[in-house]
Amino acid sequence: MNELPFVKRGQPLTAGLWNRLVAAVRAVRLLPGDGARLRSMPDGTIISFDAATAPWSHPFQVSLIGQTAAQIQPGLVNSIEPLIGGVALSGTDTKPPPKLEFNKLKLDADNRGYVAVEITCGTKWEIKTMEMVQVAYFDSENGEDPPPGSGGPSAIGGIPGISGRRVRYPVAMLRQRSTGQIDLFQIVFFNIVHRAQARDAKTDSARHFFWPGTA
Amino acid sequence: MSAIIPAEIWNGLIAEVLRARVIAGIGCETNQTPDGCIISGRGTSRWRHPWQISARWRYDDTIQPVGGEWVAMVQPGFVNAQDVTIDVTSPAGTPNAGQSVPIPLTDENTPEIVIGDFRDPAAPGPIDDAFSENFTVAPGEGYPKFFDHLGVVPVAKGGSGLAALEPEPDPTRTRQIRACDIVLITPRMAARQTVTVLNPLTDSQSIDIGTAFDNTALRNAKSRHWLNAVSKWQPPMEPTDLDKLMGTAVEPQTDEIKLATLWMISPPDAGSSDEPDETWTPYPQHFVFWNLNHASRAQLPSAPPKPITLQTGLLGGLADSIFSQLLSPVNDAYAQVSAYLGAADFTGLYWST
Repeated sequence: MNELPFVKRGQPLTAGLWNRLVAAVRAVRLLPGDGARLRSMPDGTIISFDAATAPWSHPFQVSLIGQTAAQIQPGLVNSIEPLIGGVALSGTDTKPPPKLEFNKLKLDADNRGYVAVEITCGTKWEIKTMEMVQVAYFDSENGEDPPPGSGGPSAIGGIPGISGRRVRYPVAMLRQRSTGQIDLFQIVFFNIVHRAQARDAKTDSARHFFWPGTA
Repeated sequence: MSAIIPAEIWNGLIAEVLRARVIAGIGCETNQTPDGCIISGRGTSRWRHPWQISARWRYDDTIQPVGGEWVAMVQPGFVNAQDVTIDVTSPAGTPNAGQSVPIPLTDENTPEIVIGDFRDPAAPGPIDDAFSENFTVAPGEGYPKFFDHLGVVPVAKGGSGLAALEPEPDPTRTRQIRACDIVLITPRMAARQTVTVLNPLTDSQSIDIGTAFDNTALRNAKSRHWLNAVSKWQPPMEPTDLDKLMGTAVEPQTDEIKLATLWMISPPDAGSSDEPDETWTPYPQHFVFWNLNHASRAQLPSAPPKPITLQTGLLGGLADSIFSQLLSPVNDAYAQVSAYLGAADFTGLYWST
């Protein structure tokens, strides 16, 4: 690179000096190399590198323990904590936070599965019980067999309920890759509120709604 | 020999020096010294939110003369906990070669949206009364103020006459800007009002407003929710109150939400008709940051009212026809108000989860 053309007091700024300054400015332009990304801003250029994502601990965050279990950060639905094997996600005075053991992953035909909170509602559609589960289909009766129309378009949206006033709401999706590796996609990041809209007063059929917040 | 350095040239140089200053971004640490800036890479990057867009130039020699295309990658996001897809043309040698196939964002081979159509937000708007001597030109759409400082060409101010079509150039702002929108689309059931013409002499009513349902888009949809890139997104046209009152309401068959706008900035001194190539820089602007839920209001229409009638049998039934004709305006108004108040509404709503 050219030496920067400093001048003394009173020295004329010639075209040559000016052009050397222009050349020097051009030479300090930033160019992206391997793994680097540049974004030009009014006050400078932001340089970013490819790197692993920083961890962020949040409610219902799922972390896989190998391919047979998962740890789920405590989270609330309607201010109630879901259970795993009868123990709340945050544990008790005598029991540590439980792990969701699933031995063999339940996956659909596209190698997709879910970690979901399964809610059973009471007579007034209030939450009666709540348990974390690992399923291949969150909208099927047993979580393993695809219900009719699963994965297809839905006429009215919402989360479809299943028999016994139950609903499963996924907090994370699992996808098994061709190498056998499991990739995890987090779906829920906050404590959530649940409400059900019953089709009518006689049936147990309802669609369910979830949104971030506390009941 | 002395030469005058115009202020704008000097300021342009200063602006370039400013832009060359280093700011620490994702995975980057900087240390400014008098002799330069030390840049170090870090092991972790910032958390990426659902729907976060990153665009890149994909080299492709088959696309001439530019030799490639801009594509956008989207961080997987979910709607009702379901995968969202991007339509990708299957490559040659695969079972569906040449066909458009929906690929989930979570797939192993991450799908990319091809951005083929950009708009120019700095260009003059539509021309009004084009055949008149005093035609007027609407102002350009505009862009975030942020881009002013990058030296993007000013937005056309609009006005009347030919001068409004060719805004005065600013020599310090010579970068071109283009934009496109990334949109999430959900097919849905749609209600359509139907008007049946009746005979007022016999039916006491001249129009009957009913409701039909159209699930064509829902039936033909390849996936529950998909992403698309469009030059300029316009929200689906929902029927107006007047449409409902007149019995002509037709609901759109999709719900849509704009996730992001991708702004493209050219190098300095680009032409106003240049298309973005690998020398341009993308700047995504996001509008949605969390996974979504979606549901339709699913409001069924109320049954059309039965017309008010008066059957007397007087004058051999002739009076009934007269009464029917007299009652028909009342029944028509009744039908219209009822159609308005009890219209079906299958509009879908998105909310974050």
